[in-house]
Amino acid sequence: MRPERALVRISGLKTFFSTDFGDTVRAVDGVDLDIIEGKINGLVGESACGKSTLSLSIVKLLPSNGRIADGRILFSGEDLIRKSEDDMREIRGAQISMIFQDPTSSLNPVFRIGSQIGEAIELHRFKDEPKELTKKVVREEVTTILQLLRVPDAERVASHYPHEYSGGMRQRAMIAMAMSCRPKLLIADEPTTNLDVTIQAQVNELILDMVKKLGTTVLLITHDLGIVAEMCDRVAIMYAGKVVECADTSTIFKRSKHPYTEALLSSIPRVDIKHKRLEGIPGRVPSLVDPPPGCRFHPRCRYARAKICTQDPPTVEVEEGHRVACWRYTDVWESD
Amino acid sequence: MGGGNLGTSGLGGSFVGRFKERRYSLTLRRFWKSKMGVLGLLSILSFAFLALLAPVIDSKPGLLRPGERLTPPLESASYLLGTDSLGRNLLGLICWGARSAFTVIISASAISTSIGVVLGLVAAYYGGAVDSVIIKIIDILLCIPEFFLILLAVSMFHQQTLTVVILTLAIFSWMDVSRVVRSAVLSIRELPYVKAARLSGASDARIMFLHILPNALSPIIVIMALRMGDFIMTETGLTFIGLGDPNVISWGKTVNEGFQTLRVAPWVGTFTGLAIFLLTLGFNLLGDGLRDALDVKQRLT
Amino acid sequence: MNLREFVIRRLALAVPIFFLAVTLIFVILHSVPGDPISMIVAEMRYYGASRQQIEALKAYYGLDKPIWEQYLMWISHVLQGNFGYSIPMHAPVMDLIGPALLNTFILIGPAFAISALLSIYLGVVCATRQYSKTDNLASFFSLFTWSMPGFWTSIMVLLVFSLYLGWFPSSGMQTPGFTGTPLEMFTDRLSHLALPLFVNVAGSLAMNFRLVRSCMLEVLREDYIVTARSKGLRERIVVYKHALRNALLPVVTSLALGVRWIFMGSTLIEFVFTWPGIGRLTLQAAVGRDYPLLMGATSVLTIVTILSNLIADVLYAIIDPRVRY
Repeated sequence: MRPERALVRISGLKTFFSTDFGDTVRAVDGVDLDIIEGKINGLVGESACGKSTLSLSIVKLLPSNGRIADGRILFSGEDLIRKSEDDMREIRGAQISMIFQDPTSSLNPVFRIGSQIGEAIELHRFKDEPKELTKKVVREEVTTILQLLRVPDAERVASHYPHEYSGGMRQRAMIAMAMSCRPKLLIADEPTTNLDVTIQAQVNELILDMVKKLGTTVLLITHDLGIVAEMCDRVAIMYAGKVVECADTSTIFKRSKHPYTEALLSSIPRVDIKHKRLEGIPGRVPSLVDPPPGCRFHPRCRYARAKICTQDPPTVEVEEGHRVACWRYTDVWESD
Repeated sequence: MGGGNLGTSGLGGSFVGRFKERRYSLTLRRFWKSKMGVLGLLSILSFAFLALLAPVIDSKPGLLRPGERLTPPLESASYLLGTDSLGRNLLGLICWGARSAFTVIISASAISTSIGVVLGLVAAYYGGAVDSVIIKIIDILLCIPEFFLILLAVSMFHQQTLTVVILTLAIFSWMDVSRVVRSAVLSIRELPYVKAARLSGASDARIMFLHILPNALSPIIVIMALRMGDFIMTETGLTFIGLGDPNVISWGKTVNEGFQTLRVAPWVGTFTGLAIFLLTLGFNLLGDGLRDALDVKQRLT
Repeated sequence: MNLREFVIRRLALAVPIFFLAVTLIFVILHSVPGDPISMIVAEMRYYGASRQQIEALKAYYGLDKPIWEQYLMWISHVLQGNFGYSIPMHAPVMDLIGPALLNTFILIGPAFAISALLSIYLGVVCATRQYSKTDNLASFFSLFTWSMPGFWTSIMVLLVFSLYLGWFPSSGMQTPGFTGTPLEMFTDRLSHLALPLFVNVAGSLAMNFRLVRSCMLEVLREDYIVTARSKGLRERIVVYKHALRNALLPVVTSLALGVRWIFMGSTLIEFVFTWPGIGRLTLQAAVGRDYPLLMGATSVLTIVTILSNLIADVLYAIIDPRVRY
């Protein structure tokens, strides 16, 4: 087996937010996650399960009321949490980049596309070079990266403003901006959720293409299992601030073990089977301020046993590369 | 819910009614939390109190007492703030001035808000040509410096009574209210219960005033409070330069007199101006407090 | 899309607006009850105008002609810049307005610039340090200052710094009859400018500061700010380049709209400090029932306001490319 290296190794990460009312929201409550180098790593979950917070924690761009309370984030062997803000700034944009869900609000409306893409290039790659030389070179680089993303008439696009183009084009601009310094890790937070379905396919293909060409590692955050199936090599399932299962994509779809994953998969309507009714998951997503004790999913789980499941479940490796956080796969369960 | 039509006491009405109940208590609580807003309210109430007590504090404010002119404050028991160059009790002048101030700002505010609300409602509700015309008028009126328009208008009148001042203030100040109302109504207009009311055959006027207006109240209240502060400034400014009713005691006029006797009786101008400042501050604080309390957008959670 | 086209189109729009505004002034004048024109004539008599002057006045206003002709005459007068003759001041109106306007700009210009720069700087600092001591102090102070009536602040400042401390002169633009080296004369003028300038700045600073602060706060919450940070940009660049430019948009609009208030505030300040500006001139005209002067001043100030709106729109288009279509 080819050894798979973890580019980023997250262990025990806890990120909390404090609200106006004095409560603490435990958005990420003890997460272990490996982001495998060279692969597209998926992170799946419903809204407000903590996946965006997780991604912001990696680059330490949390809003002012958020803080990383515990854990380690190892990136190429160094703990990002311990790093100073100056060091983080060198990493952001150059080694770790992000693209966001809404390309309209994520691009500054008053600057040209080319200048926004070029900003990162200028900052990270040419900061010690003389000015006149830089401008021309940066412009060429911008054109290059846009062409790599199959943007027609790249020079013209670069000289225009975001509002003059459609959502798909803007997202390509965002990708160009993120990839302009050839980062090792690209964090993509629901990059195609806001786009039309046909454009979605285009942009996803572009991301796949780009990643293959440049060998970038991707953390792809999404709530759409279809995209997971299409694009991800590995996937981690998140629920209420915790990772409940992670494995290869095909394993997850064929042999998922966690009750939540099962429920997610069976709630997808299928065209080849006649459904009597759509299956949802009974109950509601728990509050992140006052989560249920132990396994977060147990109040909605049909296998739950109150005595056992009210304790935090350990993470069990049920087969190679396939880990589940569920009591059902422990010895304790058998003996009960 | 009786068998009435939807537009009156049906879904739309009671929904709004229950909704408003909860909102009022919440906003009241939020308002008390804002210390600034409460301070503002206190200031306004204190002056209102003084205004009410004016005849008690000084029953003959215009009385000239040449023998006691230019008494500095606190020197004599009966003249707490001293007297001016004509021997008038300064405290009395301030109290009576508060009366005319409140009269002007309340009346002018009422009139200009009414005009502004009606025009804003009509413009936003009917849209199209009506809206364009009203906006154009507003924009053009806003091009002319307001103060000068008022100067022009007031000085035209041979007899400048308080009514004249109030009317000119009102007629040239409704534009801001209109804009605020218009933008609020534009967003309310598209809500489902308005459409329901229209479908059920309610008349336009009914929809505008019974359904839409109550939900646009928050920004209207805020801007009314802030506008009142502006009115004080404008009114005192006008009387300061000598326009306005010569028979009415007004703060501006007193400050002017204080200005002219600045070297010999600096307290006259100082204290009267202080009164203007405190009352204006009161309205501004109140407006801010109201805005903070009302602004968290209507959410049912 | 083109900036030049935008400017030209905007200029073209300003013209009909001006005409409508001027018409409005005419309408106001003639809708006030009690025929103001004959009042004018009566006032002129009071000032001891000669027969000829009164006849000239009547001819100027076309008092014997039908109203629509009077209106046309008014429009043509405005276009020529001929606002008639001010009898109380014994001079053509335009001759009085010109220098007065200049004097006002000498006061307002620097006040506006200082106020704008200071408020932007303070607004940004406080927005980036929300709820800190600096922020709370500044916000509180600004509310305070905003509520102070301009004429009262002027009187207080005059009282303390001129009458009691004697550091500054109390009136006028320069010491009458003062001559000396250019430097001395310049300093003299500066010392006369100081107090009214201070009051002017203090008055407008509050409002602008609060505006900048609230706009910055809103902009700093936008998604593209997160994007900018995720590129690894220094916080200072994020704030002053990415955030500020967007925050300035509503600020520019508001500053332009505030021109009306600037003139009002400045008027009363000019009165207290006896500054020979257009505000004071207008006040004299109002109190003295000098209608030609009053109408002329109002019309000229209307032009100024329209122009400043135009400049604001153009500035807005320069800052925000979305507007230029």
